[in-house]
Amino acid sequence: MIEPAVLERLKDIVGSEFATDDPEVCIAYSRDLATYLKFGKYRSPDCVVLPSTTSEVQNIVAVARQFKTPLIPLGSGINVASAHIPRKGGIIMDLRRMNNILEIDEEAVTATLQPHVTIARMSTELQRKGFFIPVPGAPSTVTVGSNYTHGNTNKASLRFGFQYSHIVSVEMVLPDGSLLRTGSWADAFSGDRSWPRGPGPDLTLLPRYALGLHGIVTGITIKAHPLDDICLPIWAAFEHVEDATPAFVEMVHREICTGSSLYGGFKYNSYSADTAECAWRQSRIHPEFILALTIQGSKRRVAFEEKVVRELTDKNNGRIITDRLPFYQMFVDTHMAMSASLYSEFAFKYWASPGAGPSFLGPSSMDKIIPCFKAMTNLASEDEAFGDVDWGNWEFNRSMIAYPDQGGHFAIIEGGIAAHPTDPKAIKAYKRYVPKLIKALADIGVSPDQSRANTRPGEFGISPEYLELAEKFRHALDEVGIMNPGVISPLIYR
Amino acid sequence: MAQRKKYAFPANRESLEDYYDMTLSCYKCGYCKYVWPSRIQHDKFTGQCPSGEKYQFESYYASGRMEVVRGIIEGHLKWTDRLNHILYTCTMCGACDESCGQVERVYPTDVILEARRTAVKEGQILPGHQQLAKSVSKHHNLYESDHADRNNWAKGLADVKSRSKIIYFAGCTTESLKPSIAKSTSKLLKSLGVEFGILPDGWCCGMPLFDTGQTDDGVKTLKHNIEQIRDTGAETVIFSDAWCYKAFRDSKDYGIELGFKVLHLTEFLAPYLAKGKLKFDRGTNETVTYQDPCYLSRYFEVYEQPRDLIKSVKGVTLKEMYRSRRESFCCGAAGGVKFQFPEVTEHASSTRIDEAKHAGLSKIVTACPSCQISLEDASKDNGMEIYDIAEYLSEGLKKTKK
Ligand SMILES: Cc1cc2nc3c(=O)[nH]c(=O)nc-3n(C[C@H](O)[C@H](O)[C@H](O)COP(=O)(O)OP(=O)(O)OC[C@H]3O[C@@H](n4cnc5c(N)ncnc54)[C@H](O)[C@@H]3O)c2cc1C
Ligand code: SF4
Ligand code: SF4
Repeated sequence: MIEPAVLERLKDIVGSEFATDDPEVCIAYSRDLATYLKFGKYRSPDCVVLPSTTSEVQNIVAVARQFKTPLIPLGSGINVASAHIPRKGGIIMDLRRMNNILEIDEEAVTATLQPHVTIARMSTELQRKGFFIPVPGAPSTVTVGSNYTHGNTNKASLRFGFQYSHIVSVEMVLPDGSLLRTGSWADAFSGDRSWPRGPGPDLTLLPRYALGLHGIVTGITIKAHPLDDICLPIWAAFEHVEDATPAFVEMVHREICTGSSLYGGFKYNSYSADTAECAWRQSRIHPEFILALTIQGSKRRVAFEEKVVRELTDKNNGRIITDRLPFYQMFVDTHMAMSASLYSEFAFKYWASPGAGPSFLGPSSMDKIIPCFKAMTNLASEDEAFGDVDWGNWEFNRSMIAYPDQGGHFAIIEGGIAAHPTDPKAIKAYKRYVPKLIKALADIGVSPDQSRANTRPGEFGISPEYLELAEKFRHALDEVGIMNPGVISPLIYR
Repeated sequence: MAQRKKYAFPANRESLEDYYDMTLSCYKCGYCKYVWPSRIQHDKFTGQCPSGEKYQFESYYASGRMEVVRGIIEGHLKWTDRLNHILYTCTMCGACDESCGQVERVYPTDVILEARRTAVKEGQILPGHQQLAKSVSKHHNLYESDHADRNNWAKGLADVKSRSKIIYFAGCTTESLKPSIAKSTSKLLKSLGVEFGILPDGWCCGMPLFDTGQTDDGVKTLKHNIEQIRDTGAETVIFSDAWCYKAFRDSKDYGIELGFKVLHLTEFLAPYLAKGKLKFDRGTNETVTYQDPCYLSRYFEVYEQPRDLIKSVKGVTLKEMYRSRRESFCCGAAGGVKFQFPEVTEHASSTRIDEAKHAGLSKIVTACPSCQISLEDASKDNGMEIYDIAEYLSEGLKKTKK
């Protein structure tokens, strides 16, 4: 329940039509993918407010502070980890109305945006002007305010680095209501120009992976790139993981391709198939591993990297299958910066039949890729729910993706059971399967987060000392504890 | 929408509870809110959901409505004004179905419609919708017009026939509010030498009743029309109203086998155009755009026929708005919305007019009287000219003959 005085104040700030505590409105903010998969609980906020300006955001923060009411900023709500699901009630600040592209500076090659501009919109506008940005590993419906600061893995764009490294400046309302403007916005002499970077100390990454705890991003300037001459998706297929992995690792270590990921064949099938029947047939015909790669750059660069890809594919008994790539032209047209943007790609059936079922995510070293795939295969052969080893039973097919992280030192391995997520049988089977899988992976030194399975463990390898300091820092910024209480960065639930 | 494929269980859904898994399978990916990303043409015109664009809260988008329906099924939500507002401000435009059909296949409009049916069963009929049902039951049309006047438009243009292979079903919106569409349609058919008849006692098609969850009333009036049509021995029925077209095309959903072919006027004319039997000249060079009626385009994929017809008019250039075909933005009239929440219709149609203006356009052709009316209402002070395709073409016919 929200105090009536709080709601009244919020209505005064944004107008009565944009603040409400009606349960029929609040309930729409109570669930996300993680809750559906039963890794979180449905929790409605006590009220919802839709600000349209930075000063409205500041005023809302002031109200939340005065009444010690939890406040949770919301982008698109697609973080798949319940980061925005209110743990202690309070106010959801849906930033939907702050959705203007403020400026595209063609000289500085930057875009300045309000937080709720979606990646798709920003990308389209940039491309119209001859620029592009490396897109995240997420649906292109996510917002820049959140995705640029929270997009975590940015799947292996070795050339462009992580997404957050493209942030030039941010405007942020801090938990005490004050306005932080970083980067060139903090430079008294820079005028209107947004150029990387601003004066120090640089607080530009303050919101990074902070899940709203350090304040609310109300504006962001992002560095873009001129469109490359060529954007060439190229896929290589291998019969055995033992062949695919060395090719993959060598490509990563040679730092070629703007994007690279290794997929179990089933993923490929489900992406390209239109129907369950079709997926089933394809999985019969193509029980293979796919290296999904994108080469991008000048003609010479693309020619060089393509040659290397072909040589390494050949050397490791693979073959190029780009002509079978279902969305080939779309990749080219939309200048996709990375192959793993299969997730965020602009027209594809992420949850195509038979759909992606529950999954987990785990960090590992690159040399654990083969044992991981094998562990899954072995488990599948032991448990009839997961079909035979030929992956013939599409209903409960296991799937797996590996992609390099941290400059190729680690691999992130995503595993899943590809079954329709509404199929209760799949959920049941998953519950039986996961503990076995966790144990099998632990035996080979890979530790997916056991408590939350599919939810993102944040950046792995964080020392407890760092976490303690981060918590102290958070407390210094928000001693009242209003910002997204119950969640601490990186995604550790309390 | 092309073929609907549902992999969720159970296959046959009969009550709101049966839709529970559909509400749960919404991943909140958000694709239903926007123009499909690779088809965005202009960053200012990317919204797809008329009610979401107006009210902005998540509950007014398809994804939020899935939570609201979950709340009803789980018993967390009681019938309130807000709940009805959320359920009945959806224009059933199907934009969300189109996007979701490419990702998760929740088909939100199915879920929303079932929730409306449940609302009606539980006595939740909104006054505007109650009025609709009353008017249809008493006057057999949506507008309380005198039923005896329904075929007034037809004098000298069309005849009631007891037997006819082709029937033209004008529909009560045309008969009551836009008779010029019926006249134009008849002229077009006559110019081709098509022998057709009209019904002696045509009633409202029932579409707004279906849309507002008043299914039994809808079936009653639809069945009456079907029986009348069957009596004429018709093999083909032509529609110029996309709502009526949808009511008949959906008849299988209500267990009714029609036994005759249902064609929109533009579908009927398309083969004649292809054979060179139709030539239009409005005596002017102009650029126009086309508003896809959702019930014709997204639901039944009639995208190209109207466009081909418009393009065939001498001196006419067809320029698309930023959102067109599958990504077209609804005029806001459908789903029963304009009878209860006209402000949603107004918002949607003015948004659309803004888009046309932004694209440098001043003439819009559409293929449904309801789209025409709502766009006209939003064009009173801005000089935008709105035409129904039958009128637009038949005026070209006149000039050709001269
Ligand atoms: C299919 C799929 C695949 C994905 N793959 C990847 C992947 O490969 N790599 C990866 O990194 N991510 C991935 N993601 C996750 C997704 O990219 C990120 O979570 C994204 O940032 C979510 O953006 P959003 O706008 O929906 O944020 P929300 O879900 O709305 O919010 C996320 C968090 O940020 C906070 N927040 C939102 N807006 C603001 C703001 N303006 N200021 C401050 N805090 C804010 C919220 O309180 C919340 O804690 C994937 C998601 C999906 C659905
Ligand atoms: S597109 Fe479908 S699954 Fe995605 S948010 Fe919309 S209704 Fe949910
Ligand atoms: S049918 Fe149209 S108005 Fe209704 S939820 Fe879907 S997109 Fe929105």
